[in-house]
Amino acid sequence: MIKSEARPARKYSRSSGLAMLFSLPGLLLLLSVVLAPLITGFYYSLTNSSLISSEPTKFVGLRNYKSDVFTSTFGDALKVSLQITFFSILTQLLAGYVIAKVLARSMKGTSFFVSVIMLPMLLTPVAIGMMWSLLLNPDIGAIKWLQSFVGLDINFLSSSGTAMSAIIFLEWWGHLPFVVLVLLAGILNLPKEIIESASIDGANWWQLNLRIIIPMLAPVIAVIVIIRSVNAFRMFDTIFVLTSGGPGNATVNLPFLAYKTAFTYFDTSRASAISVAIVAIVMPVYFIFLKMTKV
Amino acid sequence: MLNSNSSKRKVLVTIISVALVSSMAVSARAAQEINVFVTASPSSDALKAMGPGFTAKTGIKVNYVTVPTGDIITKLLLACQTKSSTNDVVQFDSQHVTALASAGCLDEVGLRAVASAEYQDARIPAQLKAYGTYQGKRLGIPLSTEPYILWYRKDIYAKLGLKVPKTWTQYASNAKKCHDAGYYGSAIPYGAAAAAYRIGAMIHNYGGAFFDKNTYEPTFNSAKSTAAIKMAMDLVYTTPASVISGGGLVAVQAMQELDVCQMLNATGWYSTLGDAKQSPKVYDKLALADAPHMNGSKETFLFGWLIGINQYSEQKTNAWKFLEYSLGKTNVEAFLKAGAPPTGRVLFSTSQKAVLAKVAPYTAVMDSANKNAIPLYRVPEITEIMDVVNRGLNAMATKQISFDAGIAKLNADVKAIFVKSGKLKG
Amino acid sequence: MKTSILGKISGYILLISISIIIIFPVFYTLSTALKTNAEAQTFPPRLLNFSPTTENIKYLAGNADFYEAMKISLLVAVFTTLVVVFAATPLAYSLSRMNYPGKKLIVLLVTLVQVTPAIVLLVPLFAIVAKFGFYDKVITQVLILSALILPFATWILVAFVKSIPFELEEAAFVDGASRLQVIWHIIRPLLTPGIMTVAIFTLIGAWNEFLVPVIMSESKAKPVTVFITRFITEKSIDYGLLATACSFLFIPVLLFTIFAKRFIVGGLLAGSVKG
Repeated sequence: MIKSEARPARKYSRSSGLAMLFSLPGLLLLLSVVLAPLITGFYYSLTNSSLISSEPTKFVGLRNYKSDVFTSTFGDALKVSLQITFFSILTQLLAGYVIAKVLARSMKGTSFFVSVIMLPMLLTPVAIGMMWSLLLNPDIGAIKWLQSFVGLDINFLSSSGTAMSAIIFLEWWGHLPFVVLVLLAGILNLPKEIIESASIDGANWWQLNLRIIIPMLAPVIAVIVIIRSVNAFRMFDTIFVLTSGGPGNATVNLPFLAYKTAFTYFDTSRASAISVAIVAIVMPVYFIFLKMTKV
Repeated sequence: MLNSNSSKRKVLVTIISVALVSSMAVSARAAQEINVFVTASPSSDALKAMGPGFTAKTGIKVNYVTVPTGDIITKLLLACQTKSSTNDVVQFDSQHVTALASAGCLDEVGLRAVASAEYQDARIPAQLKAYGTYQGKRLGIPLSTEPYILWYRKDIYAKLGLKVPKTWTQYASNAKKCHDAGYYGSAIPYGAAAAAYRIGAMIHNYGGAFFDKNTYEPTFNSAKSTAAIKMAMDLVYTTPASVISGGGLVAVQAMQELDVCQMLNATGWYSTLGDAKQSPKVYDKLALADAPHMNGSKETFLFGWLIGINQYSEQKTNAWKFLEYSLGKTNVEAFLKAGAPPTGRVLFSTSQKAVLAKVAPYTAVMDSANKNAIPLYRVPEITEIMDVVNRGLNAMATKQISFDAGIAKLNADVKAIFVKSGKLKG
Repeated sequence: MKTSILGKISGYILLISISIIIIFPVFYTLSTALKTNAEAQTFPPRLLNFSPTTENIKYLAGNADFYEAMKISLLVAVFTTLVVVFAATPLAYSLSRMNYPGKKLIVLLVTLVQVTPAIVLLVPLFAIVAKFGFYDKVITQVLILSALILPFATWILVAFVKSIPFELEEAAFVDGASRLQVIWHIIRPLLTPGIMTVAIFTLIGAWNEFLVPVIMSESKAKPVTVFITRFITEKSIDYGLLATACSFLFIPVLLFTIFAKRFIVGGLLAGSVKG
């Protein structure tokens, strides 16, 4: 991994001003669109503000955290977020690895398959979610019809286990391209000599893959895990369109919980408390990523 | 990036500035122009049909903003927060009244109604006046009146020798006979966004309630409420799969496409179910009757669209003129002919009654239901309560939680809501 | 390592299966777009044996609101891309080649954006937006989306900048070139693929965005992603029109990527192969 090339600052101290100028547009954007709302949100979380209350806004300390963060509802949503993240990444890595290896062989038609595999990443998540909700319709959906060929008749939206599977499947479907392409790049960059000499030495499939290739891919896999974790944690569009958090509360993840509290219960202060908690949970993970990439 | 190649850069900068400026420009509204905020429904379609006549008569242009039903309350509250004058006339629903009123979003349209000869407020039944009232102020007039009543397939009833059920026990027995004959016995929706509405109506059919009106203690575990919920859960076995996870619309679609014997739903669906084009399979096979009751209760839920005026509108007089025109005495027939469900207004002229009878043959049932229909609980916490009860009932219907645990959880969740808002002690 | 025939066949079977899983929903969307609403709701579903109709396409093509929505989607996508490129490129260069006070803070801020789910920002953002009169405007969506996409764009460009050997710049400095000249004449041409990659990702990302516009727009700045929600109403779901509108969302992106594929793939590869 290329570390930041250290340069003696004295040589280019004149351009510090230039550097700061370069950062200015981005900085302004982030300060106004991200930092300001975060601070405002943090402030709201300590008050009793809501979209419908006629009471004057007052400071209420940690009341919102007690009522909405340190509760089983929040815990359940956290569990859902973690489950979605864990299972979608696991399945993406497994499928992605196998697919990437096949693509790496550069057989005829690879370019076509790469184009196809890229598709889900480009298509509008909301639209995909809506189309899947038609496909998963328990009375007239195509999935019901396809299932009948293997003798099944599962209504995916009616039970918590299957609804979660549907959500995880869509998360897997939508982001598989990213995993495949990054793994492919990693595999293509592996030193071929090491792999070839190992296979000449008689290593079988398991040993070759598990002991040699995958460990060499570790940095690439780590990047994938970190980026995908953060994104799967934030997942919203699909849940909103497909299950609305149902059945019951089975597919309510943290962002959906925040959305519900803000735009269904109209309680901005409680929603802000949930939001602050979400950021507090995800931040440490990302700091690890930063440490690894060392800008 | 910062150096020249200035001509290219200049062009780019110009394009961007023009775009910024034009997108920031506040569009000036013509002096005589109103914005009507609606959601797609037969009632709003009728309002749209009334627009041209109104413009011809008064010279005031009418613009319509249509939003999905689920977005109404969010958009209105957010607009209200910013004291926006964009919307003049606003369509909303019963469960939105408390939120909108608490946030001060609505004009006291009742005062205008009472003072208007054209609107003839005296012909609006007291029940419906109360429907649009919160804490003494009338903030909405009825755009449509849609109580929950019983829908059934008269052809299947005739075939199996079933009688119109007066009690829920009879409904359940009808359902079983239908089920045994290979039909679906019931299409009451249990979806996570809808269960609380019709099952809530059932609870009131039994004489129960979500919570005590005075003490706010949840009463899901009362004998009457529990019996109603048990009845609802006992009907799941003969409900189409999509309806178990769906809402009112899905139940109607099931009624249209599959062979479903009976359901509890709003009268307003008649414009869909009674229409030969939209429901070719069943339009002439359906009949309506009073919702089944138990324990001598007569209550059911009253629903229907309300319509009012934005508190921050700058065209309140013109907005009221539009409402007067569309919903007043002169255009009753025109409004009905444009496809609107009845507004609930008591009609007097023979020709008006004739039109009503043609467009909504079920008015006798509707009037009788309305007499004892109550609006959804008017408390500020209602949207959260409905969400929690929706999901709780859905979890019970999808067997995620046992019946007894489900009842206990409903009580606990609703109690937690009242504790958060300070009405109950934790 | 030569692949055996069996290996080859199983490889193709795998790729074809994955392709089917990926293409199926897309195919379903496009075919439903050609069905009437009634035919779209038949069971068993008629995947191939239906009578195609262009009534949905004709309806949308003649619908003023839909045109407006497409216009908005395009405006938001294009302007977001411009803003992101203009903001991320210099930022990426300064982060990877220069040292200056406050750099660590900027990195922290950029990180913060990446971990924050958009929903967390939207409630307070709405209050701010409303207070300053920016509700229901294209510029609002452009700025918010730009800020949300900025971190990703910056990291990609950082990777590209770092792949440019520093010796090139060093040589130019030795020859007496100023920093700005070096940037303009050396970095810019070599960074073009990176900028193209970022532009494409941003274009597609902004085109597909739903959550931000659904909260920040009402009637005048509604992109197609929000527009499609109108086909699911309280009274009915129009499958045919919904699928058609979704197709209108998919097809431009699909066509676009045929032309721009190498940039997308290149961008992902550059971002991952940092060492």
